[in-house]
Amino acid sequence: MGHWLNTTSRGLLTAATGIGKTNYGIAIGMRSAEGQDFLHWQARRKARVLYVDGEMSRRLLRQRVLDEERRLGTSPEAFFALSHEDIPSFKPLNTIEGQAWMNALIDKIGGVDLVILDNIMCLTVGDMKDPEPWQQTIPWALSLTKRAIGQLWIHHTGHDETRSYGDKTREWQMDTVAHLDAVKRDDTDISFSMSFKKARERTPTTRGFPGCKDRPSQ
Amino acid sequence: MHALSGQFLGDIPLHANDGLDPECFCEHCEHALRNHIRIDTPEGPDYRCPTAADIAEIAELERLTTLRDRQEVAEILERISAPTPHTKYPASADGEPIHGPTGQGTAATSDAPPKVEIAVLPPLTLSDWRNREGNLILSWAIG
Repeated sequence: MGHWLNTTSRGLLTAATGIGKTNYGIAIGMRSAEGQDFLHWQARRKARVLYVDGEMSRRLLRQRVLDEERRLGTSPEAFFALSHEDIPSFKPLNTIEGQAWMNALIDKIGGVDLVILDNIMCLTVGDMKDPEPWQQTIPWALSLTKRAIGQLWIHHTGHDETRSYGDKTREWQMDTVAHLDAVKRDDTDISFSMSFKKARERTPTTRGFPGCKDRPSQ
Repeated sequence: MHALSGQFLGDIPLHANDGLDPECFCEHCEHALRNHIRIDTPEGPDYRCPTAADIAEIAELERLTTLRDRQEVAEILERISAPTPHTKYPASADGEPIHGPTGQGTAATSDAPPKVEIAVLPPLTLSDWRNREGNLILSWAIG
């Protein structure tokens, strides 16, 4: 997807509560699975995408997934959405049991190109201000990269809505750190601007320019 | 007290190194120079001959240091001779497995994760989500 989301990239998407992180995650996941452009990013091919929700009820996840399917107009076969509620005693992803189970799931469905993890606070345990939970997750995240599985980790902000909540070290292993800021508009339910605080894939040939129609800034 | 500061054997300033040559002995008290008591003065370090109490204290400290070194070496040798098998997770003090931060799993390590088999997949595809009803049965086990 564009130049920032591929099978070896690790991305972190942060936003305050209610901005639209989940809708964004489902939308980019489903469009990646369909091989359809999203916003101004060009899709290169159809991808196999696993979306993992650790927060919502399965009723709400079902509603959001099917809403996005209606907006898309097609049903990508390679889009998989997992609800934590469907897994008895779901194990956090900073534990060996949780990571082993997720590896087994990926293998069982025949592998994926992209996994979207929504969200860090719900899928891992421990104090988010402490680097330890993420340190325990890093080996698994790196192992996914080795297997050419791109990752988009979704994360909340704290009281300071301009940055991700808690320990800053998790951004160090990311290729891309994107942040959503609310934009108030009366004609939309969800409206935000997206800025890239870190863009390791950005080069002079891929960078965009504010206000440029052909190459808008990311 | 008498001052030893200044030049001594080999023209090495006494204050240049507190670990004085153990083979050098004071010509006044005949104790090793390094066992002399250092006194910092505005002009630099000065030294005085040790009293009998100082000598006894130094001997006791050396004895304790030797004892501690021997003990630590013994403990290290014991650990080396009987390492924890890398395939076995050490139990906690009360015999329970070590859990993650909130007791919801074993903290991830660089070890290979256990093999997991998923017998029945949960609803995942859009078709599953469209058609799903009720609770599903899912079985999985850590092998």
